[in-house]
Amino acid sequence: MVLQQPAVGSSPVNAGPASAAPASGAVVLGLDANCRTLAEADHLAARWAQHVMPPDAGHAHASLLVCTHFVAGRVAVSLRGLPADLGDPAGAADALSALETLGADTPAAVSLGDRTVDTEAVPGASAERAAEAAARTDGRAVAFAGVGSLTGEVPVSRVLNGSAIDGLAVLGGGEPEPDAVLRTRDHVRPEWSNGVLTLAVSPAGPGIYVPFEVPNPTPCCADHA
Amino acid sequence: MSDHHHAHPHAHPHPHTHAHPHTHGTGSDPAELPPSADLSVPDTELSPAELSRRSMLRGAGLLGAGLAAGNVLATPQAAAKAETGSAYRGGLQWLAGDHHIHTQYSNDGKYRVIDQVRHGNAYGLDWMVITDHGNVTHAKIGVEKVNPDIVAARESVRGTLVFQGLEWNIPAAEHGTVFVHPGRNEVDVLKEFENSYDGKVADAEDSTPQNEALAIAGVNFLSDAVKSKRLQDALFLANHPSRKGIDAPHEIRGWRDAAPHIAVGMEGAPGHQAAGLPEPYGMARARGLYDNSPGAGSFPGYPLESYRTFGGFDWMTSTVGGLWDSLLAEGKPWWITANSDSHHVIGDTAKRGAPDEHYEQHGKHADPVYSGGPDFTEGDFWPGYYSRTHVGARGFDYAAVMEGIRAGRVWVDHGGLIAGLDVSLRTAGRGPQRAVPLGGMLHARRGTPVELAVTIRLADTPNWAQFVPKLARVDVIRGSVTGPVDDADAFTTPDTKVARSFEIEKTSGTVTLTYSLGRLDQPCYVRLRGTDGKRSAPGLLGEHIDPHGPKMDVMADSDPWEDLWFYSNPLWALPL
Repeated sequence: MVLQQPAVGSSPVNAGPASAAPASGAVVLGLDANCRTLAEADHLAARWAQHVMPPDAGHAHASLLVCTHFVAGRVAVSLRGLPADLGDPAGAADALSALETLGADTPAAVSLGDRTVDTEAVPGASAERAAEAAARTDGRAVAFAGVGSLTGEVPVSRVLNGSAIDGLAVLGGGEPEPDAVLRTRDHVRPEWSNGVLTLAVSPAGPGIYVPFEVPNPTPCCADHA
Repeated sequence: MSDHHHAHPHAHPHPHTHAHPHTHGTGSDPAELPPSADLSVPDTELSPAELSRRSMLRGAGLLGAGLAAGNVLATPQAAAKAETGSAYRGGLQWLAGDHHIHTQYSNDGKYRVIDQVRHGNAYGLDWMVITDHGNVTHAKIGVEKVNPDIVAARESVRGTLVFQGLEWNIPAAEHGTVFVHPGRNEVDVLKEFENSYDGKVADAEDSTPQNEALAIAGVNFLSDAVKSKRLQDALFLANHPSRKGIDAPHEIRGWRDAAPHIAVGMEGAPGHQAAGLPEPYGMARARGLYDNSPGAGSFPGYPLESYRTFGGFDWMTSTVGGLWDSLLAEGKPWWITANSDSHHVIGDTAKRGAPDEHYEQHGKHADPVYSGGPDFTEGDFWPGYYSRTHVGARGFDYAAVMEGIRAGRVWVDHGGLIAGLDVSLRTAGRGPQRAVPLGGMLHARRGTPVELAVTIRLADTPNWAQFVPKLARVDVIRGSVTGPVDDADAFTTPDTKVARSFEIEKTSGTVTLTYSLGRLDQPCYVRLRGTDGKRSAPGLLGEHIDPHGPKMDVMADSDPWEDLWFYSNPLWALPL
């Protein structure tokens, strides 16, 4: 385990909406539920984000960063910037006990601080590696500051100023025009790249970009008749 | 090993049962190697020319390792004789075909075999391969049940050769076409192959070393089936290789090196070319249905661009200096094709004739029926309608098509961009001229002037979208052959680039182009690419590598008819 826990009672992160870099020492939870696809992992991530951060948590949402990580042929999840009380032993125990609820139908392993709870079906190594990846700002973000505002079509400037996304990378090269628009398809998944939370986008017509990642990619032999 | 050379229609390095590519040397059939590369022949027994060639190989660090694995630096006897021989003068039949077609025997298919064959024939195909998906139901029922339909189609549509194949779920990787020469055992061997080596049937889809080894074992199974004469012939080509990033470079090298005469290439362009057409007259997805992103089984080194198409072509092929070129620069023959992957044709009025449960029960979907109106939520064309793989064959039969593909006498086009292409690489100096066709390896004395001669028959009749395409530019792409690489996951090569571009002014008739390679000094290869010039962008590896390459296709807004390309396979020039 390489995770660091903050001193009990300290603020977990101090990142505002426009700055994605989590403070060092943030509480990080790693979770492996044997997800094979990003879609499964996204679903799991959403359930856990809701569990540790109820919808009425208000401003605290701004500091929560939920990512996916490819680990050992599976997709694991990390939650970073958790409420401080999860960093103390009682909070950790609470989070881990949530495994029981979740684990009823989903065998999983959770890593939090120096504790790992795993199951026979899911050893803890991948959960630990997910947490480690998150701690070194690696991964693909599912929930991040400002994600709620990235729906429909959004000016590219607002993507950069109004969310944790700090950079855009255009596939095939080039820079978006200042007045360009992002057609979000309500599915925005930036990734850490050299410490910058970066959204890969593709041109989709004059002045229009779409996120590289498609919400519902074509499965490998789609039965679409 | 001594007699198999002449017993069946191609010479090849001996099949072997292990995965590691470069371990032969002592174990291989000496008859496969030129004396210069065969270390069992001492220097003193070599002719001066052979000795000189061995010196070159030794100096380049190419002697020994890798030479037996179907490397061009090892060829003369190993490749078909005419390819390295003295005088290619044309005389090939160029047969258009498609090796990736689905029917009602695919879980996601719809059409009868005869529906696909009648359309392919009408759209000008000389050969087709029926490739239904490997799965438990297909392995149990479909692989046998489809055969009488294929046999009947061969009888009733005489102008088109119809192969039986299947779309293999390559363990740990993407899909691939596996197809065989018709014969007594075609069904038995395909069935045994599918039951033993299909990733879905064998639950071997995850990217694990064990599953990667199973894929190699599958390739070796096919090789052994040909060697033991259970089959007259078999070929394997990787389909939509970049779609999901799960064909790692080392896997592609592994399949090829296991049996270079069986694993011969990949789709340069995937099917589903209509899938990027915008609504309301298209499914508004991505050209080729290339709309995925990296997953847990993806090779982490691939850039995000690799998940999209460029001018309709797969990133491995469309990137000058990219993965395909990295294999060619190693001296590894590896050929590209273009196919329809036809499941459901855009604008067609057919639908399945019964609920989908019919498939599990009967091993096929019920025959299609009239749906009442056109369906614009699909992204495929009929075989031959848009994508064609042209094979230079020495006859109109199954063996000749397979031999032509194996030899790399193949070029591909979209939308009928050109009507015909003939390419030869030839010596230009005094003395008897030597020449080889596409896929060929021209061996000539060091210092001999060498040139590429290209004859293009421009499109003269409308394509199936009812216009006569206009060829705007032809690029010659050239690279050095530097021998096997240490990193089996390499997917770039530094020395390949567009060496010359020809703007095409003529609008009808025939265009002839000549590109001088200069005096032959180092092993090298050349290949061709042409375009209607409507969409281009600097290549992904830089403007100095490819100033006007294909542009990344736009999601939900790609009209495939407004962005046409052709690609040829390579030819090698090798100093003796």
